Amino acid sequence: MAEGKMVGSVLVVGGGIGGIQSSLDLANAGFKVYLVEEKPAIGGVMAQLDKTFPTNDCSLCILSPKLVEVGRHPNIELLTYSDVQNISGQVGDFTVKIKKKSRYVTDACVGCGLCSDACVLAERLPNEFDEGIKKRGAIYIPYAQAVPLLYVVNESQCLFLKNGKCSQKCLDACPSNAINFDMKDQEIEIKVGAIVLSPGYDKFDATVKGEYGYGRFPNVLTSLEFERILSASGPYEGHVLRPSDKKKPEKIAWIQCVGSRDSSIGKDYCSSVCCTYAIKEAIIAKEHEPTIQPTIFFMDMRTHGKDFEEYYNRAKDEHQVRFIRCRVPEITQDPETNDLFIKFETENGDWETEKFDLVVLSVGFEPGASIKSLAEKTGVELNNYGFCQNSELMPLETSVPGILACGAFAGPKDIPETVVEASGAAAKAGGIIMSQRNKLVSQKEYPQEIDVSGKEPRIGVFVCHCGINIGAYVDVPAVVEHAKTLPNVVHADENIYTCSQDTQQLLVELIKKHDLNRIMIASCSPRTHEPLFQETLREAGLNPYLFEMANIRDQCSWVHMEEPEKATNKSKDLVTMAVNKARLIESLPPMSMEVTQKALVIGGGVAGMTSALAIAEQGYDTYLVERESELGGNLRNLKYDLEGNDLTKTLTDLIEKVNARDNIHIYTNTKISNTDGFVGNFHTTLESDKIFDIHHGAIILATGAKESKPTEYLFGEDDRVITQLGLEESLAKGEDFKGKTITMIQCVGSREEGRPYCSRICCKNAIKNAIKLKELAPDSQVFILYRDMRTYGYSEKQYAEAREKGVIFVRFDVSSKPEVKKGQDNLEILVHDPILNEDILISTDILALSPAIVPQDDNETLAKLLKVPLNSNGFFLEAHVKLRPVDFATDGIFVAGMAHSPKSIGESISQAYAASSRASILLSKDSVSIEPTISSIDPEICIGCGLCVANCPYNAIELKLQEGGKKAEVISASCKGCGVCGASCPHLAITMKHFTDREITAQILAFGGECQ
Amino acid sequence: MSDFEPKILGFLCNWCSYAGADLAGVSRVQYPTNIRVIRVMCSGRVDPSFILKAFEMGIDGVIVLGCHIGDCHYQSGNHQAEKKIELTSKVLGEIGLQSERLQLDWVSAAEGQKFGKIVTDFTNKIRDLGPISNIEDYPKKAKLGKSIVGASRLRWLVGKEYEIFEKGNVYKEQIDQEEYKDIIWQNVGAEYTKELICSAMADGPRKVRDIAHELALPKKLVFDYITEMENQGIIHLDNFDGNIPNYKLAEGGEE
Repeated sequence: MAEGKMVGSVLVVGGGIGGIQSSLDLANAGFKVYLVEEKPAIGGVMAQLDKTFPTNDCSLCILSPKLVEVGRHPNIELLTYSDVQNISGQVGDFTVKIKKKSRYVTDACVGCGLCSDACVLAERLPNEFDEGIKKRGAIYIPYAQAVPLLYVVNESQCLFLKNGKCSQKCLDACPSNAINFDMKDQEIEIKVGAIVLSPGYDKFDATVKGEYGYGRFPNVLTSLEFERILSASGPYEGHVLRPSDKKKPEKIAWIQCVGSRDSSIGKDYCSSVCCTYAIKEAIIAKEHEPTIQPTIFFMDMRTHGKDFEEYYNRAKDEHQVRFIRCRVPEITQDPETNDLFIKFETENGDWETEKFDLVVLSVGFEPGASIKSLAEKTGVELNNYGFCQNSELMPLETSVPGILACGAFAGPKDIPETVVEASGAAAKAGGIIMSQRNKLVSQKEYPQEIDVSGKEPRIGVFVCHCGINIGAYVDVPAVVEHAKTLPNVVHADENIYTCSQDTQQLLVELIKKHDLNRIMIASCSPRTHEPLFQETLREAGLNPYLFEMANIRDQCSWVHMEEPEKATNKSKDLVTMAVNKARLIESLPPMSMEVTQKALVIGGGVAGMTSALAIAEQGYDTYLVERESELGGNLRNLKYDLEGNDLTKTLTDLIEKVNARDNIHIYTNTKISNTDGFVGNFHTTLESDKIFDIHHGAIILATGAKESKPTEYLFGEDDRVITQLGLEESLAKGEDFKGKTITMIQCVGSREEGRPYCSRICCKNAIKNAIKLKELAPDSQVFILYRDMRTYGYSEKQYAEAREKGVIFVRFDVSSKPEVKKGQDNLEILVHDPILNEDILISTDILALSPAIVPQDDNETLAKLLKVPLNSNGFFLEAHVKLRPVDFATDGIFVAGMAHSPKSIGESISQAYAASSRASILLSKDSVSIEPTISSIDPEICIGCGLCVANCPYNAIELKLQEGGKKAEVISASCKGCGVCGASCPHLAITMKHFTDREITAQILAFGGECQ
Repeated sequence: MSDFEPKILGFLCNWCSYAGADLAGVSRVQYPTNIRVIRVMCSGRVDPSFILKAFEMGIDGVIVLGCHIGDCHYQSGNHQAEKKIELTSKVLGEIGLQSERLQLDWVSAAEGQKFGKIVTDFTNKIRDLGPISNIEDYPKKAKLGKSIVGASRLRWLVGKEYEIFEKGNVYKEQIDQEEYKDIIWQNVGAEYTKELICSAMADGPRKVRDIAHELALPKKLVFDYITEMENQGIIHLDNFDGNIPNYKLAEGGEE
């Protein structure tokens, strides 16, 4: 590594969810970030999705706050519509040339869209964001919530730029003179210390599979096109219609593995996400139109992610999605009706043809068009498929030191895995340039807060149209007029999109102009947008709690689409209620607490050690606690992986690295007996042969999981029945398997009643051991009895390799599990093969079971101790399954590795880096701000009965001796603001700030007609 | 009756049911427009007095929705809500305000459909029940109910209930839950009687026997409550009519 020169900034390439997460993590940890995106706006594919699995969250709703955060972050320089031209230098000190393509629209653009309507090509060019189903003009904005909210002229489409001939109506239409046809491309040069590549993927070009008729048959769509059709902001406004005749389809088929698991076109990897997204699309389509009958044609159902199997079960049982296991050979079309016909093999082996109204092709991932040139410019090696070359044990690294990779660029993966890798890459990048932390960044400066105490409320009311989402059903101008009649309202207006970036500027101006001291916005949900508007208030010098919202979209216009008049009345009521509350709300002063810049990592397996190492590399002291006598966890039982790495060596190396760090303090044979405190200030009691306390600011929980003990198939009764770990040990020891028959049974204790989840790693492990067996003893017979082979990602290749090596795969249904009996010399296994529809008898020497991965026994104890939740299967539950995959809802506590859910070593490593990134953001600060919406107790009224102390789930209230006896007192940093204490206090001594009795009563009064 | 559009107030917890209501929107689940929502962070924040205030204001039905038991974002807030709503329902029945006008239910963040169904069913139920204004003196009754649920002893008993049955009391004794409930209901009755006695004194000093006669209660009982309230400073001795004392409400005793 080059000594001396280090630059405290990072280049992030790609503005999808991966690049966004990396940028935010790095910028929040004290580094300057340049985020380069080739498209005119950030958001990536996630912005195009309607919903996300397995929670069916609205994709854009959860993404949009992040887009805005990036857009307004003082330490992120957003370079959209830009390409990396050239990279030189080395780790710590790269020089990057970037071309900023001309948009022909300046920053003066207010995003009104008049230019687009005026364009002579309006509605004539395919809109990429809607996958071409909707049309746009040559001057356009990719999508309504785009960041930056700047229009762009497509150079190759604009008639004026192309031919010099056009009436240029856009120029006249633009109210802010923002269009400039003389604008030129710009080249800039930046210096960065590290680079994160997150350019994402392209969807597979379905025309390559000509047999499915994509491009020829109008009612054959790609999954992304269907996603746009499902979207309320999509081409059909959320109505499920088929393109040929705009009729509601009844029968829709999904065809899986289009462009995946297909060696005939060089795509012999599994794209990992299509099974679950097809299930999602089927469920959502049915939610939109209950008459729809969805059918999914698949080969293996790969719902291996956390809670995905349960999602699959619900699709079958609750939503009546039909699943047919068959690779569809072709689709034909009735040219008259555009109806489609699918030929498939039924369960009893007959071929049938069925008519469908619409067919969705579940297209796989392929490397993006620009990846090759990016690889050339950076020197980063690509693998055979054209994705970034990386390895299981170094999942975030590229072939070039200082250049990290994350997301689908590093292989097909879903959103949470992308977010995990993005945070992980940020931790790696931060580790490289940690000496330059806080050198190139500026703290966001807010204007001095205006003191509004005692001032008559001057409320500004803004009613949002949300494009047509509200405006088409609610008479927005009438609501505005109504708001003007309410007491203390001094300004009321409407906006097309109140959340857009230009409206934020407008709000700041209006707050100043009208001296507004309370803001009430009637729009969408405070759950998604309150933080954004509160930020705007701060920028205008107002305390963020002088803000109130009325939810007239999610809870009004969208749910009363047939009753516009009543919806308008309801909106008026909601506005009145919110205004009446807003008259009473007060500033809540920001509160902050010092941060102890040390971390506690619980668990000394691969996730724990990697986390500790990553935090230590960022420069913070770390306590690494392991209950057993030595470090290593499950890695101690694993000998090699699918790539052939020697895991024993990996373990030794990792332990050595951890031991070598002065700032990692290792405690083996140690248990956690108590933890209290809060973000930035935890106190933990450790118990070994002695009992002692440590202070730390963050906690990473990495306690792992374990292989379960099977209770069937003669396990424990016959020595020849072992588990995969036992087999792996025998193989590593060099035991002789020549001429032997080895049978493996998958899903032992997984995907069944009582333990519904998929243990994710067993299929890969079985393949790994099967190949090893065939290598060591080519004449051995290996059978794998499975339900679905879940060799997701690149391990699909090893699945093929195992088949080539002669491993025999026999599928069974959970309803007729294999029977194992002791034979004379051997074990006899009877299994029903549903393909042959025959019983097969296997005489085997060894039976290796793939048992479920189960949570640790003490998860519940630990969960109570740390006050973090578990999911129904007993694994730790993160704050948000998509966008906060390693955070807990409780601030300052993070999760990594199998404590979260079963996962591979590489996945655990990525997650460990991600958790360390999230922890480092916190540890990089001297103080942390805490929510001031907490309860407070009036000591004059409190009689010290202690009811609140007993009822507080966070131990955030304590009895303290004060003047006049013992009184209850709130520990501000521990209070989470539920308000239970306030609702219970026998003497009404407790006020729950921002949800006070007076404020809530004001809302009730307003609904009852009293608002004056 | 069919053109009656009830006023429905919903208290929704931020984490589950409010999110479920948002999901109903995102999923375009259609339900009646009658409901107006107040967002609280936790269903356990809903003070019984809010509900009585709503009825006093002529709102026809109140629905409180929280996270499913076991899923509370604040661990046990929905258990607290359960106890509070149970009390409030009991009080509504006692004062003649129809406990069916109040409902507690659970909606998770993923249950948009369920939210729509619950709101539709509840709206229809209240539509069938008819306007609260059909109940004679409903604002006065609601006010009375509000005083009952505001009584500190009752608030303490109800606030303590979850803890006692989840964790045991400080002496680790098992208390019979039915017995405990009986104590609460007795207290509801007692608070109700006390409120009636106070109302009887609203127009000036009264004698125990007159009040007992008016309320058709035993004189001993009325005397006991008056003594208790005298000790609490709610009631004062005014004067003697011969040997017989006249009692009156303390100044500013009522809000």
